[in-house]
Amino acid sequence: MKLMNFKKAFLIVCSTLFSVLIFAGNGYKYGKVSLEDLTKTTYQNDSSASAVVLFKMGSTEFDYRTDAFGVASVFERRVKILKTEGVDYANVEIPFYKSDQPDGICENIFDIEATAYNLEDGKIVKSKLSKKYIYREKVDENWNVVKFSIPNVKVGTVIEYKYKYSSNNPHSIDSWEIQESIPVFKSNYEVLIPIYYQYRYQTKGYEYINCQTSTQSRAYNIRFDTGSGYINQTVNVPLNRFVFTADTLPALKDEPFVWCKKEYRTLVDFELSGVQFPGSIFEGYSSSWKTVKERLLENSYFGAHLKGVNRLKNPFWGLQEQARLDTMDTENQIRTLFQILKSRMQWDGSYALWSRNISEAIRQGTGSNADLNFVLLRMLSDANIKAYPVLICERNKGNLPLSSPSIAKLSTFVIVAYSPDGRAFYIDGSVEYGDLNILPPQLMVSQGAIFDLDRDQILDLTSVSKNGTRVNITAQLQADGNLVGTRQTRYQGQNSSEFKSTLAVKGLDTYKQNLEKEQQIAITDIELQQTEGLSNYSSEVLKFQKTTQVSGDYIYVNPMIFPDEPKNMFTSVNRKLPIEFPFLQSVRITVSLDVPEGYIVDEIPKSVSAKFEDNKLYMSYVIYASEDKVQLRYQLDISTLRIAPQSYHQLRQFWETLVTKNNEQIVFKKIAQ
Amino acid sequence: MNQKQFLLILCFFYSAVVSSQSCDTNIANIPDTLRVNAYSVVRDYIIEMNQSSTKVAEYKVRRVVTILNKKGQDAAVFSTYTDQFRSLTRFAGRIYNSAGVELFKLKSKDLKETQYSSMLGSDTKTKYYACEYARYPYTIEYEWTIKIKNGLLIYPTFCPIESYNQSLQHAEYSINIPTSVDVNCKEQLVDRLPSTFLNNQKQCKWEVKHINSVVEEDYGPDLLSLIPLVYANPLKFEVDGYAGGQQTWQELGAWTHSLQNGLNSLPPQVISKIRGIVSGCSNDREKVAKLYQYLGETTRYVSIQLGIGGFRPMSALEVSQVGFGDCKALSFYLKTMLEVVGIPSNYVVISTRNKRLFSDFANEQQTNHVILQVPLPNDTLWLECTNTDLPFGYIHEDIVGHDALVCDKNGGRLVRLPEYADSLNLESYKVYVNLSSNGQSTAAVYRTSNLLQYEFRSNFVKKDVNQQKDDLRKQISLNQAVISDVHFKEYKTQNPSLVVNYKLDALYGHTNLSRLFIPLNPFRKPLYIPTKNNQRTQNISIEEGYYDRDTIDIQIPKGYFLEGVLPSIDLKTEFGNFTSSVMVHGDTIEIVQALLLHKGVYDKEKWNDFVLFCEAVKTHYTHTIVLRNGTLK
Repeated sequence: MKLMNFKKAFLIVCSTLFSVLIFAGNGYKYGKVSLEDLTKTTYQNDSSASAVVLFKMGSTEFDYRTDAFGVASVFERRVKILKTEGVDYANVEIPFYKSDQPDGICENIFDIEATAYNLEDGKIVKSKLSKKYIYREKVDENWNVVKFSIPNVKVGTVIEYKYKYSSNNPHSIDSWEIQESIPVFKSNYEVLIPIYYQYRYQTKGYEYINCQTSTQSRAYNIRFDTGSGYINQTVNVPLNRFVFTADTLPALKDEPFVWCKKEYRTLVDFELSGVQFPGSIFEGYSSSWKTVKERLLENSYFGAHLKGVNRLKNPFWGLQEQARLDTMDTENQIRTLFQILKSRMQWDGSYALWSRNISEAIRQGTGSNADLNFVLLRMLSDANIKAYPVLICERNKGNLPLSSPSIAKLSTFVIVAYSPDGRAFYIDGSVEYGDLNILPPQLMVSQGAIFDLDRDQILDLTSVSKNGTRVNITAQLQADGNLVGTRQTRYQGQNSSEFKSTLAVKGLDTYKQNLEKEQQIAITDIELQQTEGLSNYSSEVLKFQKTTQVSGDYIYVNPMIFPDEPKNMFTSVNRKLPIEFPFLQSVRITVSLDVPEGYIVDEIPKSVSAKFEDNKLYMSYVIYASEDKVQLRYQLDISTLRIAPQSYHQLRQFWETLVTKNNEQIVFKKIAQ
Repeated sequence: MNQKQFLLILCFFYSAVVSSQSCDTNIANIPDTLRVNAYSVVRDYIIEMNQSSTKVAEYKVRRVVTILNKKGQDAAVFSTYTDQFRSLTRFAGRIYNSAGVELFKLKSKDLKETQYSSMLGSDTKTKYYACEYARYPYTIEYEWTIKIKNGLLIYPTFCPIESYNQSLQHAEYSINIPTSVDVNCKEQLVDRLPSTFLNNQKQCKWEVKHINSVVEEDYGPDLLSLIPLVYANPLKFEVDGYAGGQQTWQELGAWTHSLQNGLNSLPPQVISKIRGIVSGCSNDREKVAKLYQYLGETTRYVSIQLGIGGFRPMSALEVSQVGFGDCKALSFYLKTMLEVVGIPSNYVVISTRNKRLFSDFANEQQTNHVILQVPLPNDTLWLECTNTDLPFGYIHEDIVGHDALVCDKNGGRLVRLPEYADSLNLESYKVYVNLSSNGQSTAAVYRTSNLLQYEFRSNFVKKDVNQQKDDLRKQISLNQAVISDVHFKEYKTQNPSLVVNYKLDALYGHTNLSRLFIPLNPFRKPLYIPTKNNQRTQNISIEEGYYDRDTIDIQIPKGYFLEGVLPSIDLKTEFGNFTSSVMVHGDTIEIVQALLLHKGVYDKEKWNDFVLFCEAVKTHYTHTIVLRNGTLK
């Protein structure tokens, strides 16, 4: 018996040693910095890099603490500093979660070691981080951060640091984010998980990650409940082993027109699908929408507001009763209820999935979109309108992974309500300038999961609103070059919401001033319609004057008068990430321009049309002149939200054509006397 | 009446004053003038500060603000910090609806706390209430007490208006101190009431009523110069055991200098290393340059503020060991190294935010940075020690022309850093354009940027060639521009410059069938055009002067001729001069443009003239000339 225990104990030692040896197998060992790394002055794959991560290593295992499994990791990192700006990589901040709640999740970062390696007179000189320069700060009730600055770091230095991480939560393993804002040369991550925890992994991003899976085992000293007390027993637990390797990853840089850069980072995600201990029944975790929904339904911050004894009461029932809903169609009923809600509760600017203190939010008259949405759901239900939450992840926070549904990937929800004939109306508490089906663009996701236990359906919100601008300009050009005219604009959908928002945030005066400056016009009169409250449209009539260029016998005028795309916004030649537009839209502009008295049209631009990839983008510019009038029809349709980086070059060319046409001139010539 | 009784009455009187005002939370009582352009109104703001000894003090604050709309929401946030010198001993808050009816209360447990800072090390905790109430208008009231222990250098700054579009109904500030304590103060737009004395206690008091909101105006002065303010400080103080005075800048400088006592020792091997570095140098300037370079190669900027560390630098020894420090530590380290080689230098306290320091009011509130002054026989150097990438001897944008406090063994001395003449901040383009009849062009572009304009462009050299091309393309307003053959040379001297040249292939302007529309200067972004305003309230402040001078030569394609009239202008104003001319020499068009902008402060009456000047510049930068094909038609 004694011998047996010894053997098992030996096994434990062996298996912990094993994970350390993995690193060595890669030609890498912590603390062994080569002369070559120190003498190098640039990174061969990216001369612009201010620093490069030479090695980025990690290993994660499950350990057993008194009565439960926890996660224990070791992370190591070696960075070469190449430029002055790169020295900042020696100032390290590691955030970790540490809940104030007694039974909450508790992570820790400890055993920090760091060293700077410098070459002095041909010799390697080490400078170690002193404990004095390690600081811990409590950020809020859930987050802490540990900070340290490695000494003696300058251009050419190689820095190395390692630390241990522990967590008491075996139900979550952090993503292994391989790609960074500086290049990564080599990366290796090993994960050993007891088979009781059924984790699945998913790789993301554009760079290749090699994954190897195998099995092995490890002895754990596990506590068992015998019914009359606890005994500890050593158990040989089979483990799933995953090793992820990747090398020469380029830096992930910021680019414009991207909703969520994180979505394109090369990384490994881990997800727990279930837990099954020997002799216990399988406990499933969010692996289907059904289980996600069931768990949400049980949650006191979500499902409890919708069903059961604690179901939310309708705080505005009195107002709702007075509203004479029976005289309206469903669409107007929803609109009316939303207006009642907004007259009593204001949106505080935040998005949430959970409503933690909804009664306080109602009392204060202020809440997150979730607070407002739960109230609206109750109001809709009381009006016998079928309505459901639609679970989403906001576009700036990432995409909803359809293959592995999980609560952790949800960030908030919006509402879908149905009319008896099955028409869908989307609405959300954060709507301030839009309407039904015109939600803030970050909520208009391509994948939303309906919270209806009877059906799994993924809804696409990207094209529920029709967005666009219709402009009609009539103008008279006078012989002195002065252009006088009227512009009528009808904004629809998201464009209307944007227009209303600009007016509300800037005020009419500033809006006018900015427009005058931008377009180099003087506004003599402005009339607005439907620029407040819920509406699908808003419109504006503008009376303006503009000075054009007169030179000798000639007058030069851009017939667009208000150029739609005066500059090419795609200035970079290269592109790594997809280009994402905020919403689909179509722009139509017609111009009718009177030829000035005593002048003739000497020259007009060419009519042109262009398209990009099967009309995903389409533009046309059709112009013709008669004796007394020039007529222009301009059109731009954006019918896709996302353009692959491979098509960037063609996109730029398309935009160049567009910008060129937006800037071309008509020439009027004085008739010889 | 004995003393005790009197104090009781006094106490009663005080609390009566506070409670009599505590009910004005109804928004109907806000005068109309205070609503003009206001997002929030400070209804009442009272600071009552009681100092019992040089080390211990307490102050009570009451702040009542009406938030009129969403844009005023920031004014509803409560935030204060605590550290080893100060603690928050009491906090209470109330939120009222527009009629002044109390909706709910806030207690200390509603405050959130964070230690997070942007620095490596700091002992500061921030306590805050991020009010999210959003039913406008509403009123929020906060009352809190701060206790100061272990010394105070400054009394709380009285600044009742904290932002644009905020008006003020009533505010008062009182300081209650023993008569033995002398106070130095500086006030702006606030009335000082006569001091009162009672039983070895003195009260200084200020009051301000009905201040309209300030609206941000283009090219306006700093908000701090437009709002009520009181800075008040004890003439004698002691912080963490370091005693000093601040009746004059001389005294404050002496205290700053005294904090450095004993921090300047370095071990023999570092001393011999330093001596070795300068051994080959022939003069002091070279030695300073060598050691400045050595500082840059071996240290980096990291901010650490612990305890008295907010004023006292880390020792030279420690910096030499760890290779990092903040502005104080790095400046002092260089000073110590210069001492080793026998070159005297001075620690200089300065502000990167405001150019001027009050000459008659010594204080710590106005400064936030430290640099090193090295007085050489014919040349005084002002060295930025946190960024040695700057050319040696060059005075950067954030400190050039600023007031500063030079601290040495004789105490402090207020000085002013030199400033570059506007015309020396010169950037010039020289461009040769070879134009084809289809509007396509190939151009050789040469650009030289000097001094402040150099600093503005100096990031360029750190970028890779693709980023450089993207940058250059963004600066040119030509569609379809292709940039190649980028070369640059950086002259990192005391008067630094950056020369960049490249080849440009682009559609130069716009084309029609028979015409080319050529922009006069696609290399300049037109000046930002502010809006005319007949009710301008603030003087015009142009913070940086500069000179842009460009010459663009365009080769006219065969068969083309200039159509129409050539534009030209020669403007001389007090804000600056602008000339633009187009001349034809044979088959070459020569465009010459020069804009000289003078830094300075100009009377608000001249605002519309300034706008006209900006418009004229823009018109001529963006003007097009027309080339016509003579062989067609």
